[in-house]
Amino acid sequence: MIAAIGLGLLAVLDAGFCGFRDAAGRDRRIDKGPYYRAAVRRGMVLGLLLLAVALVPIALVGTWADLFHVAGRMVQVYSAFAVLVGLALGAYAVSEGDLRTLATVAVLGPFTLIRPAIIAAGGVWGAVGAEHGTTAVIACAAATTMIAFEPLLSATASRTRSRPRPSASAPAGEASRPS
Amino acid sequence: MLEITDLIVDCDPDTLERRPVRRDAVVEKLRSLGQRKAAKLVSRLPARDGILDEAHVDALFVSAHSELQRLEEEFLQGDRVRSLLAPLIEVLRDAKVPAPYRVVDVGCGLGYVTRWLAARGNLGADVELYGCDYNRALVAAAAEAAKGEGLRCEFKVANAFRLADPATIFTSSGFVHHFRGPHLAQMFREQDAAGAQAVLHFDVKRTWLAPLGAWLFHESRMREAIARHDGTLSAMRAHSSQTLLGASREGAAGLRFTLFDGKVGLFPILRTMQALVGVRPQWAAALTAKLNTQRLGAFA
Repeated sequence: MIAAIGLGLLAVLDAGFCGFRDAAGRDRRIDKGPYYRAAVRRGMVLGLLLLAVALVPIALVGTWADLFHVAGRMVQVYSAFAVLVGLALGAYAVSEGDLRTLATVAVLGPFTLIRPAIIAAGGVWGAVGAEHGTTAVIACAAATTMIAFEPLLSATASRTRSRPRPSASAPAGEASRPS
Repeated sequence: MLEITDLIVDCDPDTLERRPVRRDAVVEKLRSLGQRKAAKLVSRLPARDGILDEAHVDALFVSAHSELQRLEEEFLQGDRVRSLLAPLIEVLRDAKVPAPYRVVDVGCGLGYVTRWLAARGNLGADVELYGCDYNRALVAAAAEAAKGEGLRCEFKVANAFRLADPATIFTSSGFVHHFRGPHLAQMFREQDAAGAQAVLHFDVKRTWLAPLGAWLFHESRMREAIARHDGTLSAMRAHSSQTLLGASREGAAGLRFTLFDGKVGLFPILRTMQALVGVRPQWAAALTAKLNTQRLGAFA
């Protein structure tokens, strides 16, 4: 039970980070505190909603004992990753200059890149330990959803963002690619 | 190797008017240099009658530079520039050089550093902050962002070295490596001729680890494929310390130069940027004393 709650908390936390990453690099203001806080909030709220919606079919088709066991295995992978990210973020927050650079170059940047692989690995590790096929499918589906969450968030957010489009008469590059 | 963003926009250096860019010409140029991926990226850009669509290119630049601003934020570029700029201004103040001290960011893009200095630099009321760039879309976006936050700085589509009110100090971030061969020394010559008291040019430090770090960072942070390509290439094209010092000393005889953070350690991950610092000879000793750090080399 505790492992399942932990997994849910990690998922919502990750959704918050997705919100931050989706918002980053789009706003040109110097003071972006409120902007980023709103983005993190948006990610967490959407993550929480998704989690709540997903719990209904999981509760209907899954076996609780097996689900908790699999959740525990997934948390083993994700919590190790979360601790490392947390340490790097902590170092970034409290340090200055060069150490901040080290935290972001050596940990935060690469960890963003490998995040999908870590989520997939956690899903597979959980699925491998499942007693029932249904639980294994649920573990894989949960991992896939988390991987897809950031692009989905970005797609929904992009509706509210404006970006100048190419002139109407300019053909798309693919269509007019030189031979 | 060439950066895509250096090729897909062209301006007349005298009038600063935009000149049309033929997509096929850029693609062929990149292919001839063996840059197949870059050629492919350019071939996908929209064009009309073979000419790259300016509105799309402008939007691409603004989008890519917005992402670049995130990198500057993470790398504390505003703080980094201020750490050298503030003591430099103090040296000029102490020597009673007449104010205002006009700081001009060359090739400012979206003007992040200039706007950061205006918002948080606390440089004093006698300091005027300007950003100059040839790209009208970037300058317009920079001005809009500054206005939105009520910042005391200005942005101009202009040649920074030919301003009616000349700069006291030229600064730049990630700009110098765009100049190659004789153009590099020429760029410093123009700053010397413009009468600047000092120059501070920050750029990626050329190390064995820089391309890998740049690749990792841009892959994880940038959405625009062209921005990822150019960002990684920037680290590969970064000038060596010798090239920077050689070209600056050859071009700007009226200034004395050194590097800040120019030393490359065994594991150069901590100090990924360096600054070329140039000052009029009379300020060299005072600035060295003011900074009082071994991170600053000897002026020559």
